[in-house]
Amino acid sequence: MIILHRLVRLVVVLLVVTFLSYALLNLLPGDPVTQILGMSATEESREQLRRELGLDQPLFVRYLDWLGGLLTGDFGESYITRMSVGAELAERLPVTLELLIAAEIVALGLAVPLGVAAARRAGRALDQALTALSFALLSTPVFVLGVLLILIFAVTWNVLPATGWTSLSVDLGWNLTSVILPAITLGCGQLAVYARLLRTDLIATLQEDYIILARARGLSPRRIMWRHALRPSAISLITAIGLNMGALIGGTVIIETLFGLPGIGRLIVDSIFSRDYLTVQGGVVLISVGYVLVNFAVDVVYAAVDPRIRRA
Amino acid sequence: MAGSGKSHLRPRDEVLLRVEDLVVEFPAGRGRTVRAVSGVSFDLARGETLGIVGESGCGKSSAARALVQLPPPRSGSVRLDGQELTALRGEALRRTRRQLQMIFQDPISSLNPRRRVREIVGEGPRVWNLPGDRVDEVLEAVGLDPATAAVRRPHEFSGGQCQRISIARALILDPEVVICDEPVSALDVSVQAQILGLLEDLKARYRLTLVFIAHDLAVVKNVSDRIMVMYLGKVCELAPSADLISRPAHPYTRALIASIPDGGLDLPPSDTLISGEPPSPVDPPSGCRFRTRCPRARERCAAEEPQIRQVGADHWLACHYPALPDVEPPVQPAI
Repeated sequence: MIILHRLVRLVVVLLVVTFLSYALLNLLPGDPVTQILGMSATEESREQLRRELGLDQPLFVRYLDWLGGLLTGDFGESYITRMSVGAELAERLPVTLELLIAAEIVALGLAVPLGVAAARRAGRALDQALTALSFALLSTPVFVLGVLLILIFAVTWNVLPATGWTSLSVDLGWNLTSVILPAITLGCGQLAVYARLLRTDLIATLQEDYIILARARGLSPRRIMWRHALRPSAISLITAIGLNMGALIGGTVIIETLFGLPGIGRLIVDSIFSRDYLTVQGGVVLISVGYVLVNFAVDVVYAAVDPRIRRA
Repeated sequence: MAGSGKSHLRPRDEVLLRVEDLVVEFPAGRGRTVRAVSGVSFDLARGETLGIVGESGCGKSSAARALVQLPPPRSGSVRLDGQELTALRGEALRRTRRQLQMIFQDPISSLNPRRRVREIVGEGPRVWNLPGDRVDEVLEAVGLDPATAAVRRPHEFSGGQCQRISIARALILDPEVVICDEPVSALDVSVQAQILGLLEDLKARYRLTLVFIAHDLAVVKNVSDRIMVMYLGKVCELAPSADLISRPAHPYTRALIASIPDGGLDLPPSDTLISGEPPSPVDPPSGCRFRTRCPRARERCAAEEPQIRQVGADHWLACHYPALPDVEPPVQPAI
């Protein structure tokens, strides 16, 4: 029942998002024909290419046509490269996925211990230092942080590559070195948000009666923190993970461009500039499906974290 | 009221728990502190139940939590079986915690909502490596069916049932002393009676030593062997339960008794009626702290804090002008 409900929601989200992005792109001045033929082409040859590409049809007809193809799993063909959009996306998706997952691992892997450390000694020096660090991270744009990291690790110390990508299937070690800097850059903004949320919720949970009673039973502080306090304090954190996924995906566009990674984000940016409508559409579909799926997963995790939510 | 002194304490070798000059303070902002408990002393013999009553904010809960060092008192001494708890830190303190267990007012928030009852009750013995699995036995003792209750979670139970789970969780550790902080205040009256009855049964069955805190004298009087009345962080009166109810000497105790519907004590309103809120514990009145609301207050009450003195068999009082006809005011010290 819930699954069905979600599917309906997913379809609605997809329809709205793809139509809006389709319409928006078409409102931009310029079209793929100019990109392909150049500025000096004659009006006749332009007209002919438009017909070949189907661009002479009204916007709505083209959209429905594309939508019909999507239902059969066909993302269409790129106007520019004449390659299958589906194949292009499939090639680039692993890069973006790996970047996202690595960024979340960096963010959560640091945010949980830092949040716990800050909550345990709320108001003390460590907590205040972490608060200051969080705000510093939050107010640093990703591209500034990225350039800074490149400067330190790639240029000055020369321990990590500044740009470029090695696929996971080619070499694991090189793959990891190429994902580290982008993942840290992308994860740091999330890290600050996650650590703040977890700290605040933990401080509230630690004042609950059952925590005091757990201490009265002589449970060790570590056991109380990790076994009793952490899970109930994770609700805001989990919500933020789901909601921030959009910001994170938006971040990949910048990160992939900055570090020269062949991912979905960069594909979309390039395609926007070349007015390659269908490639952009394909990327948008992928991102919205991903976003809805992540938030569905978040709801499932809620129930695991807090059994009371199962009834709702 | 607002009495200090330790003359009511019994010899050390007769008592299980001995609390002396307990002071609990909290920061009240702008550098000021609230003295929630200021110099309270009492003791507890093995198998005895001490009731502590007083209105909200009189420091009874703060005193109870200071007993288990959560948080530790500002000063004073808490001795359990001769061992000074306030001197313990870290691991040594953690190891003694098992001996003092607590039951709180809010049965729902006292239980981790994410755990099943078997985990909630069984965690303590597992952490302490106590032999045998007594979860079923203890659940039965508190009136829950282990077969159906153990696999469920707290939100599937009523308040009264949750309180039974809390009691089971405390009992399974075989504590020396169980501190019940308003254990029935959040429950319906009919359920209150059941839980009080359960506590009395368990007291007899496990030879429990209880500290029983309530704002309602009617709740405390049947469960307790002795009752201590507190006001604004100080002791007013301490007496065996029946004696306190039938011969209340402190004006505040009399007011509390008069507030019980059908309390059985026929007192004139002029003698017992108190009004208004207690003064702020940030800035308590001089002398006797009850004087601002006391119908019997005179000048001496503002100038001099009454000391705890004996006014009957095991009946102790901190008041200059008690309401009992056969009790004289204490001799005024020469100035």
